[in-house]
Formats: sequence, structure tokens, C-alpha cells
Amino acid sequence: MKNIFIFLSLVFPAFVFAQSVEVDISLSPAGSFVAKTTSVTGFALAKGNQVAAKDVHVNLKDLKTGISLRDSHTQKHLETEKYPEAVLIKGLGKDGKGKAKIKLRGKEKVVEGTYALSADRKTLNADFPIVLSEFDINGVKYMGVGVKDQVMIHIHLPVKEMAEKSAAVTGK
Amino acid sequence: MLSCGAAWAYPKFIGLGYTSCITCHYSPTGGGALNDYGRALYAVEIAQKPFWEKKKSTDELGQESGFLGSKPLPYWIRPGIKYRRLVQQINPGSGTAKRDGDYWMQMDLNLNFFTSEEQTKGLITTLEYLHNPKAITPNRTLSHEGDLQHFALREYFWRQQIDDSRWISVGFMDKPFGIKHADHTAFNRTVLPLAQNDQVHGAMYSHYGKKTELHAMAYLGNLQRPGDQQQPGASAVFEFEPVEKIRYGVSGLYEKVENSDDIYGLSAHTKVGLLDHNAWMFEAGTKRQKEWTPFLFSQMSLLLTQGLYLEPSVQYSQSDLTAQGVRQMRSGMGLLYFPFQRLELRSQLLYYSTSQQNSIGSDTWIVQAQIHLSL
Repeated sequence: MKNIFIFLSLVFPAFVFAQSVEVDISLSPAGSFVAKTTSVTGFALAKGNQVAAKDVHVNLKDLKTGISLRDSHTQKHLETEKYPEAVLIKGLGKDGKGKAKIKLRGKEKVVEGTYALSADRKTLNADFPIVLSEFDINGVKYMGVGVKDQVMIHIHLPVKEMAEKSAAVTGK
Repeated sequence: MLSCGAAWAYPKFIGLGYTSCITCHYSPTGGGALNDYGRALYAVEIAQKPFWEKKKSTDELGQESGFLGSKPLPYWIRPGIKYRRLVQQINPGSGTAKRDGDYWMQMDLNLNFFTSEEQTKGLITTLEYLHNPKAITPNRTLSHEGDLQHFALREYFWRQQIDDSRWISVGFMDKPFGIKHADHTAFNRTVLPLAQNDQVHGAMYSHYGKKTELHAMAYLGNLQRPGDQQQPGASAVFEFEPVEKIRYGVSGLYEKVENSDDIYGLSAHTKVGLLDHNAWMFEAGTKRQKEWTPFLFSQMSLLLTQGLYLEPSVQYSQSDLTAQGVRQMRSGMGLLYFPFQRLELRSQLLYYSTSQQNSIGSDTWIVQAQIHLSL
């Protein structure tokens, strides 16, 4: 089975594993692309039907979109020289829904999304939308093709299971 | 019959993460003129960076990719010129070898006009000069005699964005169906009336969803042809993208034919973007007129280095499913090279065979070379 996953990850770029971030970006007039990185540090805690995470750091300089032109534009609009990281400062979830405070380009915002634990409870997969203009990323357009204001973030983190009596998962 | 390609659409660029044709083309289903973004992408990502431009940044290359290079044009006009020529030899090295042809395949003037800077409303036109006026069949030239018999309109349609996800196109254009790619003589384009000159007058609705894409067209047929040859009908293609760079699609077509059976077409296809800009395309479908005529098309696109692709392909078709049906197999190995933005070179070795029960089949080797210039 492991070999199958290695093969899939080599052949199909859509297959990614724990500790990664993917950003679904929609284009105008049409089309989309995915920016992704595995330069992510941090983990999630799980206890029963609750999850938590804090201080998850994403190295934006390693975001790759598949072609160099998009890579350079992505770096430019994220101003990664000035703001090399995005941070999930703190996130809490229960029953598949959650909220998180994130920091991007020096701005902090609370975002809402959904999450699911893998069947073996070893990976947390969370999805949440962000609005680019709320982080002062405006008017992203190149040769008539623009980026839509809302992008979807997918984050995959390894999970540490907490003992029932631990308070860590509540973030206190 | 065995020449290849002027449709000028490259669905294989799903390997670069581009799944919608309209990102790079003015036509919602691809083919025809490239838009500004498509030109820039061609210069920066598709073609090799020539030695005289080694010091230029990707942004500079993109900015210089326009019709007049770096000189910007007003938003309301986007012209383009395309020239394509092919030479081929049949059965090279054999006693029957012959230089079978030197084909002037394409000499197009694209003139596209827009009413706004966003180019969300515009008239898309392609005027074609024909070295051989008969080559436009079943389309028609502008005149049957005089200088105008060497000119034809390949497309003219108004396209307009309705909202964030919907477009409408009205006029003379290609039908939406299956995988539209550069080889207009491939079985998945020729078994059904979907080849280089099969444009029709009609209206097409396009919907771009988050993971889906739909093009549906109702058409009156080619109104430049006599009434009983116009073949009105409808066709549609729907694609679904369950994961990044993998698209599955289904297509349907119906055409009314005077004095014969109507044409029905069905196909399913997949386009898969593989790692490092490689791609695989596959389509299986059938035509139903008097008989079933199934077809298969498969092509890999393997990036050797930037600007250079190796393209093995296999195609199959059978003219009807009875024992009398003629089976056709076509396999090829192509090299596609973009030395710089405005030049494309192709070479291809094809093996073409036919077979039929109780008859001697034929097999043919064909070597082709192609040059394509675009401004």
C-alpha cells in the first residue's frame, strides 16, 4: 500500500500528505490553480469530538503553483520578502466545524471553516475560505486574467491524541 | 487525409494546471487566437527562452509577447496572424516512396474587437487565405470566382460574459464536443463532423463552475451551404474535475441530415495532468448514423525540456461493427518544439493501417514535418 501512495504522489501532483497547505485559487474569466507547500510546522491536538491547533507556521516562500510565472507573481503579491510566513495562531474545532485566528501579511483575522479527522485520527484536514482583500491583496491581474477575491485554504496537519482529562485541546 | 493540425488548441496544457481553454483563448472551447494571457504564457512557460533573450525576466518576456511586441495596442482590438505549412513523405525508404505533399495548411488573420477593457464582450473573427480553395470543404469560400475564392471566414462570433461563471457565444464557430486538440484529422475529430472546417452557425452557452465546465450549443448548421446540406443540430460537452489536474468529460451530439440518417455522437474522455507538466488525454466514443462507428484516441505529452515535447499517440476506429466494418489503426510518435514564442516546429512518424474481413488490408508509414508561425 505504501508503494502505491509513493507512486501516486510522484505521478499525480494532487496527492499530498500530512503537514501541507494547499490554496485553491479561482481565476477570472475562468480556470483555477492550486498553490501548495509542505513547509509547514506544527500539529493539531484531538480529544473526542474536539480539535485544537496553535502556532502552525507556513513558509510562503516555498509555495509552488506548478509554473514559474505564477510562482513569481504569487511571491510578489504575498510580499514574501517582507512577510515570509503565514501563521495559524490558534484554532479550535468541534463536531467538524471550527474557527481559527490566522496571520497573513501582518494582518490577523478570524476565519471559519470545516475539518475532518482521517479514519485513523492521525491527520487533520481543515478547509476554510479567506478573502484576499481583507489582507490587502487587491487587483491581482496579469494580462487580462485575474484572481478571484475568495480563495480556499486546505491544511493538513498531523494529530496528537490527548488524554481525556487534558485541558490542552480546549486551548486553555 | 493524414495531415495534421490547425485547430490550434492544446488541452495537454492541463499538465501546467490549465484546465479551461478560455484562460488562454478567446474561444470558450479553445482553438483560434490566443488572448494576451495565452501569448504571455506561450512566451514564458511554453516556448524555450532563446539565447538572445536569456537576460530578460519572465515579466519582460510576457510584456513583449503581443502582436506588436512590447508596444501595447488599444483594448478594443487584438489582431493575430498564423501561418502553417506541412510536408510529408509516404512510405519513406521503400520502392514506392514519394514526397506526397507540401501543404499550405493555414494562413489566418485574426481580428478580435472588444467593447471594454475587460474584454468580456467582443467580436471574434478569423479570415483565412486559402492556397487551395477546395481545402475549405465543407465550409465555403467568400466567392466561387475571382480573388475572393481564396478567402473564407473560419469563425465569426460574438461572445459575452453574463456573470462570474456564465458566457454566451453567438455566431459561426466550432461545435463543443470531446477533446479539441491540434490534430484535426484525429479519429475523435473526423468520425463525427468536428474537423477543421465543420464550424456551424448557432448559439453556445458556457458555464464555468468550481469543479465543472459545460458548453452546450444549438445550431442551425452551416448557413453558407445549400439548405439541404446545412445539418442543424445540437452538441454539448461537460467536464468534471474531482481533483486538481484530472478532468473527466462526457459529450453528446445530434445532427439532422437531409436525405440520409441523422447523426448521433457520444463520447467520454479524460485529461490528466501528470507531474512535471506531462499529460495524458484519452477519448472513447461512437458515431451512430446508419451503423455504429466507434473510435478511440489516446495521446501522451511528455515534456523533455522546456519547449520540447514527445507525443506518442494511438487511435482506432471501425466504420461499422459488423464483419464488413473497416478497422483503422493509427499510431504515431511526434516531436513538438517551440524554439521561441512565435515559432512551432512539429515532426511526426505515423503508422496507419486498415483491415477488413476477407480483404487485404493496407499499411502505410508517413513522415511529416510542420512549421507554424504566429504573430
